[in-house]
Amino acid sequence: MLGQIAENFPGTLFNQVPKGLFNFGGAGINAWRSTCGVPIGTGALLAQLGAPQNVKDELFAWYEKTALPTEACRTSYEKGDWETPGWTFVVPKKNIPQAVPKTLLCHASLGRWVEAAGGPDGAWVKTFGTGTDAITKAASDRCGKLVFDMVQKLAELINDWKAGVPIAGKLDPAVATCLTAGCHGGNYDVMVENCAPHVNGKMKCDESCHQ
Amino acid sequence: MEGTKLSRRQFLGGTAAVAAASVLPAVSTAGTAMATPAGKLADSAAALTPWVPIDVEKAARRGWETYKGRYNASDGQSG
Repeated sequence: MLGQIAENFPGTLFNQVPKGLFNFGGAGINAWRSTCGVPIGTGALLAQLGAPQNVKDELFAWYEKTALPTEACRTSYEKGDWETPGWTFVVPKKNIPQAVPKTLLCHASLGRWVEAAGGPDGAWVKTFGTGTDAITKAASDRCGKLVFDMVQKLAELINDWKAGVPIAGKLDPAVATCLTAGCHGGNYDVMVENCAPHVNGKMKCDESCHQ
Repeated sequence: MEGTKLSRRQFLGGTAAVAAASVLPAVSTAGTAMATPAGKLADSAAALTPWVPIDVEKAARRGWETYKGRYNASDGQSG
């Protein structure tokens, strides 16, 4: 996407941004499974563009609440104009199971999807083969499609923002009560040290621990 | 989930897909095609007007390709 912006606006600094600058975010930052690398990269681009908070919140809230991945990647592939020779191309599978991440964190986001897909030994994963190689391939298929979906949403949002289309940036309703109930509120029903009392953010916090 | 030994490499690219994906052609030609712009990135961001809409599907596909390793060598992808 930076490449498109650089091409569309030659002479700006956007053609000087180092490639690979945000690769550190892969697999939740160096495979620590913390914040998913996709919101890291998309958030970085929005920051570079000077996007307002509502645009960033809209994107992250969309990730949090949307059943992902969608079939958009596969649908695009089926148009038949993808460049497949010359590299290790892997066909995106059709009818992938979906899960709502309910978080921006890699660990939980991926974990919920693996569960929705029937687990590491489930039928969907077995379509990729056997053993640990199968779950690796299945997860790669899922996360690649997640990238496709998120970049698509990001591009749409940027185009809308630049066109003056109102963008709500609405957070999950549960966020408003994070400090008054549940894990972060006054009545701790779980171990305090696990819940960061009196500290909240923008992630939804009513249905699941965002760990 | 930890026991499934998901490959670290398989998950790299989420960020590269967005931030690093399509930069290569512009960077590789920048030295010969134009002088190095001066100033701050914020100034460049403010200068992106009138906006030229991003090709949504092209960007998404590029992101997927980056994640899947098509540009690993040229994008400096590690891990």
